[in-house]
Amino acid sequence: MATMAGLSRSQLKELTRIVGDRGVRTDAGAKSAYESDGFMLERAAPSVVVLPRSTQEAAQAVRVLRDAGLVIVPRGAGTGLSGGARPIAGGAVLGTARMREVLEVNEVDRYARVQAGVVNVHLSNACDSAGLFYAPDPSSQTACTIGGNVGNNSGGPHGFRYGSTTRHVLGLTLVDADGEITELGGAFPDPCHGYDLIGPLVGSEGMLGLVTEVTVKLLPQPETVETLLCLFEDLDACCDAVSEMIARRLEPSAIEILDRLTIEAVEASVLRAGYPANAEAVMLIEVDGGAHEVAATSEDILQVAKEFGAFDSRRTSDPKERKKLWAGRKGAFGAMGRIAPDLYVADVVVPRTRLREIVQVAAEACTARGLRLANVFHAGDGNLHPNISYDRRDKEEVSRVVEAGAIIMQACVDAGGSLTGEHGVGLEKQDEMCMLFSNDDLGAMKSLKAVFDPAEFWNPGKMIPVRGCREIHTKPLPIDQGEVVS
Amino acid sequence: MSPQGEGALLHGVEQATVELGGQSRRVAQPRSEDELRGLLTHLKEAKRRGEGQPVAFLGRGSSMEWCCPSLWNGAEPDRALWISMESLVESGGTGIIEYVPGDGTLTAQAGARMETLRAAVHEGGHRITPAGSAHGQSEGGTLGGLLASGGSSIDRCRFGPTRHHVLGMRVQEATDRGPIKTGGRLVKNVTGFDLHRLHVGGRGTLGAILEASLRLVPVPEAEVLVISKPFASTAEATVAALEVRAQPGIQPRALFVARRVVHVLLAGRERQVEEELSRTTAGLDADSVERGPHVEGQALKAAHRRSVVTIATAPSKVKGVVQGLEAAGIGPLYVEPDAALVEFDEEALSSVNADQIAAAHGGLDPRHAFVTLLRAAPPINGLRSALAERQSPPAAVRVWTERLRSNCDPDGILESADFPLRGASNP
Amino acid sequence: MSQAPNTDTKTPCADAPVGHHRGHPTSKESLVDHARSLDCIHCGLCLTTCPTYQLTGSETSSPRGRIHLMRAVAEDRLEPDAGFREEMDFCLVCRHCESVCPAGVEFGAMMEFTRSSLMERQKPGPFARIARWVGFRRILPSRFGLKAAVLGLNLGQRLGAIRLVAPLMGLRGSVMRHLPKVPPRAERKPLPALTPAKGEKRDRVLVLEGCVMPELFGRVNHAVADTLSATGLDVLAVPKHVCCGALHAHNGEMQAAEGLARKTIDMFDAVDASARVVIDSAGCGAHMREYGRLLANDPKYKERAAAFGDRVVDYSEELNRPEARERLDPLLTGDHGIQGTVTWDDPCHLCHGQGITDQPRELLDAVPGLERKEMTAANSCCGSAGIYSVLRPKDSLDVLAPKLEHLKDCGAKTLVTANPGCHQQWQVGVSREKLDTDVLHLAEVIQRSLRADS
Repeated sequence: MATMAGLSRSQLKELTRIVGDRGVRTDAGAKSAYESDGFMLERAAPSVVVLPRSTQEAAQAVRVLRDAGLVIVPRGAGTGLSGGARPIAGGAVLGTARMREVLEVNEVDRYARVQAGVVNVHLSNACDSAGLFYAPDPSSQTACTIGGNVGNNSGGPHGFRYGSTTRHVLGLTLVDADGEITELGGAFPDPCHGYDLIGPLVGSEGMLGLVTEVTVKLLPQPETVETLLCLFEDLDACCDAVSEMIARRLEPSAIEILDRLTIEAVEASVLRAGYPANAEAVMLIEVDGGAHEVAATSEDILQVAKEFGAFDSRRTSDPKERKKLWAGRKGAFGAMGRIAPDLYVADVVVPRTRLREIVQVAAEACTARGLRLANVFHAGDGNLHPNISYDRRDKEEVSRVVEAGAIIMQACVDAGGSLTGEHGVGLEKQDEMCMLFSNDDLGAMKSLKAVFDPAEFWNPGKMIPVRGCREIHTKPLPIDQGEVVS
Repeated sequence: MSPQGEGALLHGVEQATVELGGQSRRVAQPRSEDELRGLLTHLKEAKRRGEGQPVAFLGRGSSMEWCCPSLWNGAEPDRALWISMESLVESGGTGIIEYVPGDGTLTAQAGARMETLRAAVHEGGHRITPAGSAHGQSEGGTLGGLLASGGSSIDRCRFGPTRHHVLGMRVQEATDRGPIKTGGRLVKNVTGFDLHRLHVGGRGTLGAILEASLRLVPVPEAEVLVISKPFASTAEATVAALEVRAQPGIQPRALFVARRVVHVLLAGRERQVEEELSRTTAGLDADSVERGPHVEGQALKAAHRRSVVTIATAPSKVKGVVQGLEAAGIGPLYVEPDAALVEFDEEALSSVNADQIAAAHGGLDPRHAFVTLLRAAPPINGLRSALAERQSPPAAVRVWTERLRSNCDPDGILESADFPLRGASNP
Repeated sequence: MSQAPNTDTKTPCADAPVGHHRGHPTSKESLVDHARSLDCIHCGLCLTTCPTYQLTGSETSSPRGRIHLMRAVAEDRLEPDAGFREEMDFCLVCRHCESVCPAGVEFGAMMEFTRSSLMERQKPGPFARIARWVGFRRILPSRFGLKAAVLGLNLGQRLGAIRLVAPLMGLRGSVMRHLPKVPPRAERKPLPALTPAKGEKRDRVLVLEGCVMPELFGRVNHAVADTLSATGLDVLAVPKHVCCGALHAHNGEMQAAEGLARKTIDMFDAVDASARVVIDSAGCGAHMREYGRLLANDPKYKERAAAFGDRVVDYSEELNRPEARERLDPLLTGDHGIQGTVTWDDPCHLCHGQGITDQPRELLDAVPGLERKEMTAANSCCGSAGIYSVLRPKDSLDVLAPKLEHLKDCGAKTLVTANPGCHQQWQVGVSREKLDTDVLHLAEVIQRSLRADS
């Protein structure tokens, strides 16, 4: 009966009727392109890719796929770094790339209603003329979608002041496994019908349903924005300066640190930002708000930086200059592609009193193993991204990376930290969940999953470890990426 | 809480009769998480035997009136068992587990008193948001009570609702599982589902909050409270407040209308506050301008109310709602234009019916205005049933809510007549 | 880590030339530039810039997707079947993705490689083969061929034959109906070998007249010579030269492209082997800058080609040099007769291919009485893409559609560009939408703004 992709001929026809010719792909090429997201180490192809244009189409498509017995992996732009947007094996990928309409921008009530596939930066552009902006700005904001941001509770540099996505979601439209459409929240300030269901849905990595529309809060654009660049001869001092800024309760909107290797990679890329090459560490800070507030805070920040040995600093409010400085930061991850065939990207969070300590642990772990480490991180949030470069063809090197990674993660956990600050758990961090949560904690998560998705229909096999925690030790990096699961 | 007499041990947990909210109440006082868990197990078993009794977690009882009205004001107060979360705090202790000034985070036991916590973080230059309890109630509650009630305070205008500042929790559900951890103590974290969000505003119906971690905000350098002259009507005051909100360059920490007076709380860097003050007073006829660290408390006092009805709408519709209510003779009203909340108390309700409230805004289209009855609101002709009909939750929300309830509380020992989807709070 | 940090050469194989196959020509790994494909770290930042991804929402039709497919083919996980070929052909090679790629993936070069390999591996059908042969080998590289084609077009238009033929050709016919009006003979006059500098001579430059330009946009070449000479440059044309080979390279005709590159270098160097080569067609400029890489495997030409590439400048670049501006600015008047606002639409091969975005804008801003307004997504592709608009008319117009909306929103009455394909595409779009917007080359705007006495 089943002809292609686990779908009968009539089911395939029905899908095509719902989403149009360009909305269903079962060819080998299409499946191949969807076999991974920004997490490249493992791959598995879906058996069908469905690209609806509206909530209605999505709901109808979900019904057909459910009847065909296929599980669904929701996907935005596939820029995630944890493998959350690709299948475990087969099933359908339901992409929101064609759901990219900004449905409403309400200037007075300061919200926007968008389809899930709207690109983050396009939303900001759409509300620009109304003098408003959408605060979460993940580094991939030129490509990633609002739906994907909701799935991963994405952050970004400005999350320091404004918080991650969850603080900006007012309402969601959710398609469940029965293809039923439910609207949650809206423009109201608090949950109306009992529990705050939006809370756990944000950051649920597509495991509870398909978010097709989102109502987000917009903020008035700040009157003044300044970007500061402070240069340090020493990464430790730079970290300490951040800890001091937090301790003094200074409130810039973003504090980022890039170390020397990262600076070099950025400066060699199309995103050259003019970061000076003679610094061991660059601190990139943004201050926004009223003119006086910005002036006072900037002064204080520069003062702290100076006290901690910053040997030079720049300060600009010119939008073009600022954009350039930020472009370098936002492209830093991609720019690493220039210096390494492969990159192990950690996404740990530590208390901001302990930045230097953990950065040192990472540096020592890598130096002792002859590995190259580049640091780029949202220092203001305590969210570190140690990037270890390696070549996956060198098995011995891979094992050293695994060791170093384990040491870094353990140090973070010991410091009361977390193992993912914004990239999500997905497949990549699945086993590490056991370092932070007990079986009871994970049991509670499983039962939440069962509340929304008792049939395990949505993005199965992600986030919650499949095996019992005791069986999991250190997860090896896949040595070779030649194998395809599906 | 003043114990009036020691009762028998209930499954190894001390029980006392306590005078609270004008009534004697039966309060269980577990001294440890193990005792609490044992007590819950006992209650579950009793329920299975058909010997169930109404149960609810208790902080200081300061929000029970509108959180748990059926049980709190119900006809048979002596049937209910209140489980004190305060007794889990070591006697003489603060309930603070970890305050990291350098990280701007606080982790404390649910039974910790808010005034204790506020005083402790003030030492380190921080404040807790929400600035006060919901409805501007005077302090006196616990952290757990504040979070379980889900209320926000006047400073949501600047910082957003309370739930956005909860970083993580430890929770004891009414299941066989031990205490579970969700989220963490860090300002940023995306490991696992944010289960704690269900417990913020969950009224203790999914379990007891044991500990919670909060993101703190800095004590501002300067604070100013602008109090307008009284306007002729709340509607006029609301328009004036909306103008303040719309004016660029002003980021009020609190903005509300109480008793026809607009209150604008400005806070931040000194020169910035002065600048915002001059912009505010340029458009708003100020009766007085107060300066100093006490003004937040003053603002909270001004916002204090005993609301029985809350109408949530959108800023663009606030004016219409207020005008409608005033035209129907309902007042005085409390209005937060940014969160678009309109509230009023019993006095205001003396002669009102459902149609009048409905007429206040577009026939109460639930997409534009959501009405919540708080506390044991006096019976209003047809309002309760009219609301129940118009504001019924989506079918799926009922299903998910039921499943959540049965997952976290399989025996239904924490069932409430008020929450989540029935009773006074949510018609 | 086997590599040194921060090297500009990105992969161990970065020195390998474009357009030359490594290994056996029919083996799968030789079909694509595998080494280069490994540079892609799959971050996805390119997706939204890609016109075909915008159109379909399918990642297969995105730069990352296409690289993924190439890689899958090279690693023998995917058959280079018709579907693969279709995705490769669907790409406009606008190289917008390169402008945003933090990993510096050279997508355009990869695509040329793949197309060229596919061409060798899967010969097109007999009809297409003849059409390609006629187009690439007989018309484009030959002034006679081009003239004959234009004559045919001209006759067709005059006799109304196009109107008869077009409906028979379906969609492609609808594009034919919008083929450019062949300009009067006077405008098709080639440039003289020397247009002498006006006023004090400060330098001399070579200009490329190009293949299609003299026939359809001869007036632009004349505007270029006029304006450059007005700033004190002797402008040298290369009369017998016809085609630089860009269209060949973009469409998988690598061998022909290499031959044309050698010929171009020889002919230009014969006139002057040191003068800068000024190009008024973005596609040609982007390609000619890369001659060094194109001929890297040719020991005889390697060095000359690289040196030649370094001498290539865009018209806006040349005219915006400080020494040119010093002479130009006093000559500019508000007497240009251009009403309403103007907007600059970046040709892909100028902004993404050559990184030139500021110069044309600065030149427009230097013209008195000209109000310039930015158009949304000015740097995204208009769908012309060389001969793409002829090969895939429907896709081409679909790509143009959102650009037309942006033009309407912008409200400009004059759209300025600098590439014959884009020029033509915009004229088609503007006339389909019945907008009263003029399309001009930058040189035409400058020429109209020159003082009558200059």
